[in-house]
Amino acid sequence: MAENDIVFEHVYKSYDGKVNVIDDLNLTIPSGQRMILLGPSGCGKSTILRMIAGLESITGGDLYMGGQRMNDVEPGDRNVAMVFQNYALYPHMTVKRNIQFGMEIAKVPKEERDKQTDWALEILNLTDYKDRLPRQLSGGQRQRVALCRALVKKAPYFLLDEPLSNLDAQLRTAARAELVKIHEVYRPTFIYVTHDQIEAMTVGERIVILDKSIIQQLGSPDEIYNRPANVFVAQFIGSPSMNICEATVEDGRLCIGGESTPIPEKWRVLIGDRKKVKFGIRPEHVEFTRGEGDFPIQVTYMENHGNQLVLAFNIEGNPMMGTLDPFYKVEADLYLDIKWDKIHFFDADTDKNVGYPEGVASFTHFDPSSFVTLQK
Amino acid sequence: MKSSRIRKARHSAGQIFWHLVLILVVCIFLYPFIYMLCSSFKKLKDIFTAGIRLLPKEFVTSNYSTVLSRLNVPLLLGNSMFVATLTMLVKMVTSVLAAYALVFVPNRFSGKIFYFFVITMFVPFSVIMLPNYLTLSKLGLLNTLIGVVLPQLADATAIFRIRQAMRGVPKSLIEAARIDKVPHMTCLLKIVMPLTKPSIVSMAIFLFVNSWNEYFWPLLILRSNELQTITLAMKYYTGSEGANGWGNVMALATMSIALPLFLYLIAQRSIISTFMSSGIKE
Repeated sequence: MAENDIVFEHVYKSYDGKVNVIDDLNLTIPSGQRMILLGPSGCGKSTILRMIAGLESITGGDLYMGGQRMNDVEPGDRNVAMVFQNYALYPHMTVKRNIQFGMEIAKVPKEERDKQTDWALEILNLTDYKDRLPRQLSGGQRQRVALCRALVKKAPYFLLDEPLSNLDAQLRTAARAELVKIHEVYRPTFIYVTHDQIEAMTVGERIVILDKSIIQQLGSPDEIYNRPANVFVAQFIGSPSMNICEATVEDGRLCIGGESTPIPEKWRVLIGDRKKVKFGIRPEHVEFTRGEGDFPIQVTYMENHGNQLVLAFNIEGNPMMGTLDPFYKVEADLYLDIKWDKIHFFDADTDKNVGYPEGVASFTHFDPSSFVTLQK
Repeated sequence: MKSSRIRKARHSAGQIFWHLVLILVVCIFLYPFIYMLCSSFKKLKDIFTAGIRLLPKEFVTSNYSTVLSRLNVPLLLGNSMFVATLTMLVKMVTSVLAAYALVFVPNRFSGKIFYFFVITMFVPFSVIMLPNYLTLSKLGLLNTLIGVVLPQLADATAIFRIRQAMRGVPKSLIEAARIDKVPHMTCLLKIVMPLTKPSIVSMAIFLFVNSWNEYFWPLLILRSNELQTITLAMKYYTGSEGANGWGNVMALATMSIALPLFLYLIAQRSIISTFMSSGIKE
């Protein structure tokens, strides 16, 4: 166990003794890593973060931080820094006081306090605002003050609870880069809760995807995106989300409705003797041919986003989306042209990924150990 | 254009109506005070003149000089001050601490404890008057100022009101403080109290004025002349001198409300100037 690892061993959390908000959580967050907890609201991600901070008690199991059991340790003794979703700035204190308050409590000498504060303000471009009250700042500035306050603590664990969710889209892009920058300053163990997949993909070194209190997949952004463990992950990551349609397999052919197309041998091996599968294709991997192809499509709707053309279409009544070059000329008599190294198959009953053939391009760093980590 | 003008006119007509209502209500509330103040400068004969005449025919200060010469007003004010200040201070300290514990250090009994406090607010004074009297007599505290203060301290009003104010403080602020290992006392003094200052100040004034105005309980247990509070002193004029002392009563009453009124005016400013705007974006 490395210096600042965080380890959950069979952790349960229940508020009422009946429903488990967290159900048998086993998770290791390696020291110095940027780990993202991603999932829809109510999936338990904030609860996990608050358990690390000590703001939420642990019903069962053990939590270790830096090799020490932390279940009953007070939040103040865990040496964590936390950025709250609503920033939790003290409204009656100036920016400077807000940043220094924790250090005052920790009895850091004034000289050192000022030095640390100036350093943090400098990093986050807030030097001119240090004598203002939070209410005199914009949302983005408040968020940066909250980061400053956490930063000056130089705690080995840096916890962030949806820190960007109150910012507008433009500020968010800038703030994402800032977060990575802050992590690089002294590389604490960084745990970041979000429901925004773009934040997860850009900030995270590793991502934990949660749904209904259970880890659906743990992996690098690449793995999560290119090798989703199941239908939930496949559809949760990516925008527009992955097209999934139910299909049958007959005589080595993929059948959707009344149409079918032969499945290459390498995929047939993986599909095995399954008669029903879920066929997945990301909108950006949708390609068309004219006159002939794998499946005929009917275009239902088009949107020009400027940088891309978003096309809604049907294959035998199954609605799908495709993103195309904005200059693509949509014509009649189009067929879906499947690129067999850019599609996914899932088991129709369990929703689990059936796997990928050898040598499929762009999946070179696939690590089977991080593959399906479904715990139930 | 036309419609907006009509709307404006209607708007201002409504405003005028409501302002008239408000003025009327203010007059009803202010009238006794103005009557008291004016009467304190009237001769007795003047007070009993028929008709509504507020301003004195002849402006006299004799009522005040009589009261000041017959009663030891500074002592009366001092006694009232002692009782009201002590009651207010002790109640504020206990109530602020209790409210903080109820809101920010919750356990599974917090809710029940709070309702237990609240229930005491519904017990009428007449029910606990006798037990309190007996208890104080056992403790040997009858005819003492502490005896006036003590039963007043057991009151949940302030706990209730301050708890409501503290519940408005975002939980995340306290959690941020807990993560920084801020002790509860520091958290209360440096974070929670500054943020609930308007409620705390107004509650303190309310408690002070309430205790200042207390009449029945001190009447029951205070015997010695040198322990009388200013409100009690009123009884000398209404009782022993009967109708002769009305001008004096008015003068004494005016003197007795001067201090609470002054405090109230200060408090009002502090309540209105809500300095606080949250750094929280909910």
